[in-house]
Amino acid sequence: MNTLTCPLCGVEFQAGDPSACAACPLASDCRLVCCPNCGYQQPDPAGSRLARWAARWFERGDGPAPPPAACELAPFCTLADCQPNQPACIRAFHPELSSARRELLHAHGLAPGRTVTVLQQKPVTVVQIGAAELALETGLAGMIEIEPPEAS
Amino acid sequence: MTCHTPANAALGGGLIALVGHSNVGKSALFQKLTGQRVIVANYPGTTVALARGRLLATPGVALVDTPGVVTLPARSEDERITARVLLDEPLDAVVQVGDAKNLPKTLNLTLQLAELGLPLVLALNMVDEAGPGIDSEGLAGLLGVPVILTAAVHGQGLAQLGAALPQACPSSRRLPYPPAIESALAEMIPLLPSGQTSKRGLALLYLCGDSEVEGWLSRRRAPEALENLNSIRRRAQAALLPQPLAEAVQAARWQAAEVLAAQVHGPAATRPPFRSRLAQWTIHPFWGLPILLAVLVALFWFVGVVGAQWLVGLLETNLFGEVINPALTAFVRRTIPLEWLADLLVGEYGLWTLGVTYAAALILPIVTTFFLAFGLLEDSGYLPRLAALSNRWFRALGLNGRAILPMVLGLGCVTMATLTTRTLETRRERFLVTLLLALAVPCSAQLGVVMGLLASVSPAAAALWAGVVLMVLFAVGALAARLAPGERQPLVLELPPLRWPLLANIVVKTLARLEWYLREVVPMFLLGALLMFLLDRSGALAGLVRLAEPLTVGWLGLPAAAAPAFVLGFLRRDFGAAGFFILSAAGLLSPAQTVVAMVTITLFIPCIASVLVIAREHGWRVALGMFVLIFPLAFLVGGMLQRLLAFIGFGA
Repeated sequence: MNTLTCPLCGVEFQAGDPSACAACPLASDCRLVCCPNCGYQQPDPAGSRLARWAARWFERGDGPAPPPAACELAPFCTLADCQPNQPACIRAFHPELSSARRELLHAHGLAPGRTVTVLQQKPVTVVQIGAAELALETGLAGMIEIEPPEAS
Repeated sequence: MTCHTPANAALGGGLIALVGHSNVGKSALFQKLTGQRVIVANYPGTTVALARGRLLATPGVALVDTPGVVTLPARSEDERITARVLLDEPLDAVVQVGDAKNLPKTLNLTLQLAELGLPLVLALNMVDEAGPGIDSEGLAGLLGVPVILTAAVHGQGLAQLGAALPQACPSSRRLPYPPAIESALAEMIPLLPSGQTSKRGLALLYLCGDSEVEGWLSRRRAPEALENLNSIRRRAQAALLPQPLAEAVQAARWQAAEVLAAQVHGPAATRPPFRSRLAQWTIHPFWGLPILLAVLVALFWFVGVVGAQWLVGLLETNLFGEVINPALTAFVRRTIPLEWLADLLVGEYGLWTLGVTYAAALILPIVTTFFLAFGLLEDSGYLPRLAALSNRWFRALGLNGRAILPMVLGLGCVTMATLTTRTLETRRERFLVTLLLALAVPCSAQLGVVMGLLASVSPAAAALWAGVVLMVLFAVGALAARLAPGERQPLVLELPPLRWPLLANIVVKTLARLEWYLREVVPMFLLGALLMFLLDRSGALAGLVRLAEPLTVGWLGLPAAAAPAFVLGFLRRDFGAAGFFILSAAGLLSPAQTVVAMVTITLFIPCIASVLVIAREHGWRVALGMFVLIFPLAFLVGGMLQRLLAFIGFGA
């Protein structure tokens, strides 16, 4: 569930909190969320593609820090989950990855135990291995498991 | 570095192979060492076949440039070519060309080549980009082979490399592997035949499942011995489970390579911040598109306006049309009394007035501007980044972004690009890209003519042409991807850094391409002119025009005079496009007819040379199948477009 901060009164609440919408006749199919404390309405960024895009755009400047990477939350995750410029230590390949792909990744230096830096995620995942940059399809990057940052 | 057993101390004669990863400068080094022009570019897959030459410094020694490998065992057709050179060619030495910036990866391959036991020299190339502090002496001591620092494009380190070649010797480095692999190697080595490569290196490749080594062994050992080797491999694999054998071997090599690199590497060079940022923008999901658009517009302007309008106007209209051709025609008519012979030379379909004038005055300036612009793009390192940017578009075609490299190269020459499909991993990918190349990718000469013609109509006409051709490309590609057996391979592609192209390299390779182009095109244009002359004299051309009328006039809505252009298109698509160029210059084509003609001739069957290469790479059945698909499809799309344009009133 998405945690929001009311811009008017500063109360933190969950976007789907039913107490905030109980009295509102527009409760169903509404893209706005109300603060359970003061009733102030705001759009839920998670519900609007445009809002998500705009929020990301403004966060690039001096705005609030980006949300923590999934890697910091899960015991281990994949290269596809890393934030740009985040170093990652490769833990293992997903068992479903074909041996030919594993060999190819190995040959490019993506081997368990090696540390790489993710440079970007879209339109493809780009990782820096030493001085070389390697472009990987994000689906493939999602099959390369990495150690959580604390351990790497 | 001490070397006790140099393979050929004098190197008075013999053969040396240049081997290394893709895009590390093997071809640049080959060019400098032999003085022979080969195409050099800043993207992987420039070399897909072997290039041979002789060393300038030691003319008795032959040098062979091999396609780049990611690693051995070989997976793609071009990697197999390199593997066959290492196994079969009588090599006196191997020069590994490595990227000095990426030392662990380079040394990983060095260790593999060292295991093969061939006399080795390591040339650490692009040292100008790697920063100071690589201890080449120390590395040479650790590997037991000469190590030379080079920057091939600047000619740096070449004399030292030449001097080191006679010192090439097998490496003394022996890498330990996990016990299960070592015991398998001990069992296998007595069973292997002797060759120029070491038995340990061969056994390691066999353990990793190298199909080239399996084939090599099957020609030298009885089936029982092969079964014995196979059972040793199975046992070794069972002992290592769940880790695959090849992965265990690679892991040991990576570990050793990283340790070696750490011992000899100084501080890494920092890249210029603007270039790094620009490199990231080129594959940015948003900014990448305006950059691509700017590149395409610049290409369109340079080739379509500067080449196809300004230079062609200067050569075709002013020089050939007003000076050379009238003077030559008058001279020939005056000195040759036989009318048919004079016509053969300077008549409407004369060897000079059609063949040479088309090739020299119309196509040559266009391909010159295209090759210059293309060389600039190649050397900048933009093309691999375009592959990363376009990966999502190729997903619908059952391909990945790597497919754009042969397709962009196809804008230079479809025949060469068909060969470049060897860099793709699977047969399925090679087939799909070859089909798209044959169907909808115009070569440089044709593209230049098309750009020139459409630029004289309107930008909307150019956009319409591009839109229709891309739509057909995507529709046929998506359908073929569904029908072709096999799975799509996800993208894995190394991105070279963006570089400032060297003017000398661009000029040299433009000249090399022009020389090749003239050799291939002029005889074909002369043949076309002769064919047209014979058809005209025998009256068959008029019959052909009448016969084709329902198709050209009735279905495509073009003037009857368009039929000869399609006949020329059978020889080369650009020859056909040039025919339309002349029709348009004579005011015989309306804007709508120009668009229809350009779309039809773009989708027309590829030139004879391309068909031959397709047949060689995929067999005659596939080549014939493509012909049967492409020929009617080009006319079907052209006719439908003509009706659509008439319906919306385009160019009316």
